[in-house]
Amino acid sequence: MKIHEKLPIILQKVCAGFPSPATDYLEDEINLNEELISNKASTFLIRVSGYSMVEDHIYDGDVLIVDKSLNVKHNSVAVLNYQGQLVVKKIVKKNNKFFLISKLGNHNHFIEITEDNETQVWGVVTYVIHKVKK
Amino acid sequence: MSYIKLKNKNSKKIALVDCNSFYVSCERLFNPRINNLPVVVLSNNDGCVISRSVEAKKIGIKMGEPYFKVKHLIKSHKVQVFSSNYALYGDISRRVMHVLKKFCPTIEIYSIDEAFLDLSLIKDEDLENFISELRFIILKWTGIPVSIGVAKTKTLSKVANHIAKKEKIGIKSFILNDEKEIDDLLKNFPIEDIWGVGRKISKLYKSNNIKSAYDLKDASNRWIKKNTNVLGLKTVMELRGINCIGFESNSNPRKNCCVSRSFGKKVLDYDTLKESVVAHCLNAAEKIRVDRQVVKSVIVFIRNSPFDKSEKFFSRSKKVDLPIPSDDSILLTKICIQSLKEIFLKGPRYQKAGVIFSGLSRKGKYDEGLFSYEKKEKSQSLMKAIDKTNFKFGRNMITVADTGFCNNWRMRRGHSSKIDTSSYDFLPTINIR
Repeated sequence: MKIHEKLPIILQKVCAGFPSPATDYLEDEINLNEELISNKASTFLIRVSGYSMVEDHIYDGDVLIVDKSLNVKHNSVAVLNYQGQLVVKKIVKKNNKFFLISKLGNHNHFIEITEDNETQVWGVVTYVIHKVKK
Repeated sequence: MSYIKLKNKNSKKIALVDCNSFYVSCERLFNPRINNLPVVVLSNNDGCVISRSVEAKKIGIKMGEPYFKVKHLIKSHKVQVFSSNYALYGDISRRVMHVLKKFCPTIEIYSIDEAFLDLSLIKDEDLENFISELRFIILKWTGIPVSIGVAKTKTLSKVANHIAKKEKIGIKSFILNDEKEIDDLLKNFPIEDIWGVGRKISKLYKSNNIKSAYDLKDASNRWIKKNTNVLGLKTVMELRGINCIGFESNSNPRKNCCVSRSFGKKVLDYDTLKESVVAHCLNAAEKIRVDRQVVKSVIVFIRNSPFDKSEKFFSRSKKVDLPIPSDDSILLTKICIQSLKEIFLKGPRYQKAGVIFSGLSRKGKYDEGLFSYEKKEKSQSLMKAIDKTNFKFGRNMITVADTGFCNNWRMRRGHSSKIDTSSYDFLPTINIR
């Protein structure tokens, strides 16, 4: 991954009206890789195209940070291998079983995750990188 | 105290972790549709088959076979074909090795998809649990299935790994087996599959009735010494459980650096050939500068296709020894162009060109010749500036003008998945319509 952009943290309160002349001392830099990726061996960036996950704030062209080492929980958003295709779905837990939610028109369809070739968790989405368009 | 040491020495545990059909597994990672289908990956320029899924092996596609020779099998069995995508494989390999390092600090990365681990500190009774857990974590974290073999020596761990590949659980340890049990396994292990036994030497063994790993283990030292070399004897000792091939941590610097590519289209003219040789030379020079090395000899080679029946095989090379080892792109480029001029012949339809830097050594302070004059510093700051700029703005931002700008000699990669998990512009994409 090549996000080496480092952003400076400015340790200075914003004072309305009277900015201190000493504002321009910088303490440290933010490393986005460190902040957003806790396991770099198992974390992949994946781009999505399409609008089916808009309700979960994932838009066309967004980049997902996906960690394969994590296990799904109730309300996770995950990348799954569903019938030989990678998909992005919301996960819910009911009676100790995990289901992916698939929308058919206005209806929510619950499909059990069996961890076989039919439905397998690929990784858990930890962050969404969304470019705010002008 | 000395007894404990001795005991430890005897109970060395070397693991070989090997990724199963590595390139195929990488292609499957973002394309689960091909999970149970036969899949092959082709070498650079779509030349030969270099990775096969289990299903493709069953059809009878052999390792290293030229693509055109197996095209009929590929068609009739609907085999999925991919051009090699080294950017992807390199990133996935890095991840697998990273996991290994996390769980075992003594690691020797042997190739893009293999690594030796020294697991001697793990108790005998915990070993199988440890490697089966390790295998599970690699699969879960990186998506790559691996096989792990453990034994007292590297050569035996390779044997164990071969056996592990065939077992469903993907692991095999010889550590708890007694010698007789291991011998039984070695009796069924073909001589040509032993690590370090090449094609030529396995022929010699076979003609002397040494057919299995067990036969070789049982061969007399004197016969081996007489008929092979030191390496031959080392292999035999290792089969007997005596460590002869040391563990190399990967800090050992490389001694050679070769950059070569096959052409997308056959090349006839000198200028295109020159462009490619210069590009390879610059590439190699950058590589050795990263490792702080200097080069002593520069070899340039060109050849046509050995498979083309319409013309005679043509292969030429030229080696130049530098009076003072160097890492200067401009100087090295000049040497490469001069060499190419000397070996170039109009006529052959060139398929491959390359540059080999050999006799690499650490860049020192005192490697200047008596008669060298001080323009060295200037060249060094120039090289630093070039590398920094290229690192920042991408390969070949600054280059020597001889590389040319059209680059129509570059590789053919008709079946590439074009995914690069290490580049923001080529990330895998999921369609969520």
